[in-house]
Amino acid sequence: MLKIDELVKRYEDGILAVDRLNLTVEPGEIFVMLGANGAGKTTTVNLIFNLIQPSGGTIKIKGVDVAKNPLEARKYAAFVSEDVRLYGSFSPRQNLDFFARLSGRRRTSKQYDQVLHEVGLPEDSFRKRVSDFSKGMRQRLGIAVGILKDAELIVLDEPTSGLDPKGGREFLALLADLRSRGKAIFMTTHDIFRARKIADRVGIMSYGRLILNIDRSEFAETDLEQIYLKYIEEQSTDVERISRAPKLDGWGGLSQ
Amino acid sequence: MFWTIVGKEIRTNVVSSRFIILSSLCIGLFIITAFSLFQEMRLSHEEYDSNVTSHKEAVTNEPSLVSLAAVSGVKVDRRPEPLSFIAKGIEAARSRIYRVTSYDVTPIGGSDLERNPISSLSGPLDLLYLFQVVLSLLAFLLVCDALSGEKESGTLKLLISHNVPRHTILLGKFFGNYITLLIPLLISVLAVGVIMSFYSFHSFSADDWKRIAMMLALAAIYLAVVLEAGLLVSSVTKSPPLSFLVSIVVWVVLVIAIPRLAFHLGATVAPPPSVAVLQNRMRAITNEADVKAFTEIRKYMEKNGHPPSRQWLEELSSRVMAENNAKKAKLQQEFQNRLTRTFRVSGILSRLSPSASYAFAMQGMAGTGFNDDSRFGRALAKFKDRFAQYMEMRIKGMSSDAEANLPQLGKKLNLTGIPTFNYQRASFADAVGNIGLDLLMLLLFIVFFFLAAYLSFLRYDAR
Ligand SMILES: Nc1ncnc2c1ncn2[C@@H]1O[C@H](COP(=O)(O)OP(=O)(O)OP(=O)(O)O)[C@@H](O)[C@H]1O
Ligand SMILES: [Mg+2]
Repeated sequence: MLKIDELVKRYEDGILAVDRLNLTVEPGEIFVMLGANGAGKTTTVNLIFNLIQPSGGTIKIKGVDVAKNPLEARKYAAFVSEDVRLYGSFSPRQNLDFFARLSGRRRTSKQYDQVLHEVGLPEDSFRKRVSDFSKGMRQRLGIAVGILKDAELIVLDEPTSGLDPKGGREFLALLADLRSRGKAIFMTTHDIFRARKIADRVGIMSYGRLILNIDRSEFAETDLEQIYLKYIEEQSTDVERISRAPKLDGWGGLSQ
Repeated sequence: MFWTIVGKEIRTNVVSSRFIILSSLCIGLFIITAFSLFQEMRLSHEEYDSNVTSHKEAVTNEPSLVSLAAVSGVKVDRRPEPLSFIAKGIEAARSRIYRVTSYDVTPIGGSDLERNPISSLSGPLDLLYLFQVVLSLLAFLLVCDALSGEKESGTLKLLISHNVPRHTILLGKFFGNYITLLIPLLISVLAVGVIMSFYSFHSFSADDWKRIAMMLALAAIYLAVVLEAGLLVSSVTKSPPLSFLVSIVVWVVLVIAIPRLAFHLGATVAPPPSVAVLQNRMRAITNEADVKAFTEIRKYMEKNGHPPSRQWLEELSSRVMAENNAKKAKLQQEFQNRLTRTFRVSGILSRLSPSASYAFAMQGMAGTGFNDDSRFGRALAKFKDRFAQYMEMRIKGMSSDAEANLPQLGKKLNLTGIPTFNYQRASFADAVGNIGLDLLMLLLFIVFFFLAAYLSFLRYDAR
């Protein structure tokens, strides 16, 4: 469903944010990407939606090249970004209705309410203005907008960052449900605990590179947190060592 | 998709406190302005009517034909243009009364600025000012963060991920905000219309209505231009505070600075002629003519030992007068040419701003523009010639010099057939033709701002 090949992104200021990234996410699979702050996760997500241009490599959604045919590719993908505030003067229903119309599929207000229930928004908030919402409530609404698009691929950038424990648990149930409906899910997070619970596949990103890509059978027995910290630490010492070394062109040198 | 965005823009706009505050301000200003405008219009029309009657009366009370022709003349009233409440234009600075003798046309005061000097502190009052300044500010402030605001709230990413092409976003925003802005505009215009119906200072002709319709259309076009300028600002700024800052700067430059400075700059590059100097030179020409006539009469008497015949004198008089008129006409023409040059230079400079083009077009439609002023000047000059001809004919027709010269005590002058001054502003078609350049400029600005906004939005970082 999602296929990333040798993806490279170097920003104008020279920072190599994504370095030869390869990964695939199949239908009915949840891929969770872990990584320290500044590892390149959001950059990857932005690249998936062609919000920024890659410096190299390809991304295909359902076989459609994102860079060559973004309008077509985006049809198959829904987006939940890390802090979306939506339209403050609209109610949750109006927000859902607006985005549903954009994808050409209006629903009844009953259907909107159902989605809002699914993401765990309380009934009395359905008519409130979104500008009065808490961060977590907005996050839930953002997830609702993503789900409503009913795309085959769902990309979520730190969707659980503002959620309370109950919200987190409901969110996992929601993801599991989406997976059972055959959706391909790509999600970034810092939440190793939840990643371990839900992921079919876990990737660890560090300085733009995917340094680990393991499936459930490989991390089920082990302590994912240990692995994460071990890899992150190894990487950072590597980086310190290498960055002190002379004549190295960018982080690309790390992979050698 | 397009209409969904248009609808969303309108719905989010009309409930935003920004829109409500700004449009209340706009409507309020229109209403307050309308009251004082129409009050003033009524007064000046009343004043005009009463002046016309009294000036007519004064003519027949003149003691003699000669004094009428040479000294007192007839007083011509400049009728306030009925649409000058929309765009006052050059009328504010112009005299309302002119003295026309066989030799001269002299403004004798009564301009708006003279009648109410305090008003020069604020500039003339008209609706154009509100359209030009207040409405444009409203448009700028409403739309300047249209894109940067969506970027900040993260919805721009979401829009793009929902496959909305960028041109649809931009067009949707344009039309959504445009329709929103038509609300305060229409309410304001309606309110002004209602207030106007209470002050019946003039019954509008079909031609007036056509012009009013045209001016409304111009307002709508101008609104589109400033809205697009605002969108352009929005597409080059990354955050709402920056958008506001930049749009205030752009607004000041486009709406305030360029149109104002251009005229002073224009006057520096091509200085306008001085009215006082012109009048002094005119007076000098008259004196010269007098001296010349007397010299010739003296010469005749020295040579012949008796006063010249009446016929000889009449011939002399028409010769001297023809010379006098030719000189004055030439001087007047030079004056007008220099003024036109100043106006042209200022016009070119100020048309860097759509706001100036808009003002010129509105004044042209109201009949208070530069072209109308020149037209009025030409009409006055023609009238002077007709008056001079008539007076000459009448004086020649008198049985004796004494009858023409001496006060006819207890008798009113018989002035049947005296020409009357009748100024007609340019026809609607001519007026539209005259504003062609400005109309074209406004349309070009629409295209230019839209393309610029589109190109910069294509490269806009949506993250
Ligand atoms: N617009 C930009 N221009 C230049 N560099 C950028 C830009 N955006 C991000 N970066 C850099 O790219 C790198 C990756 O950033 P990114 O936002 O992808 O990290 P992240 O993994 O999402 O981090 P976080 O967990 O904090 O969200 C960082 O070093 C960041 O400084
Ligand atoms: Mg991030």
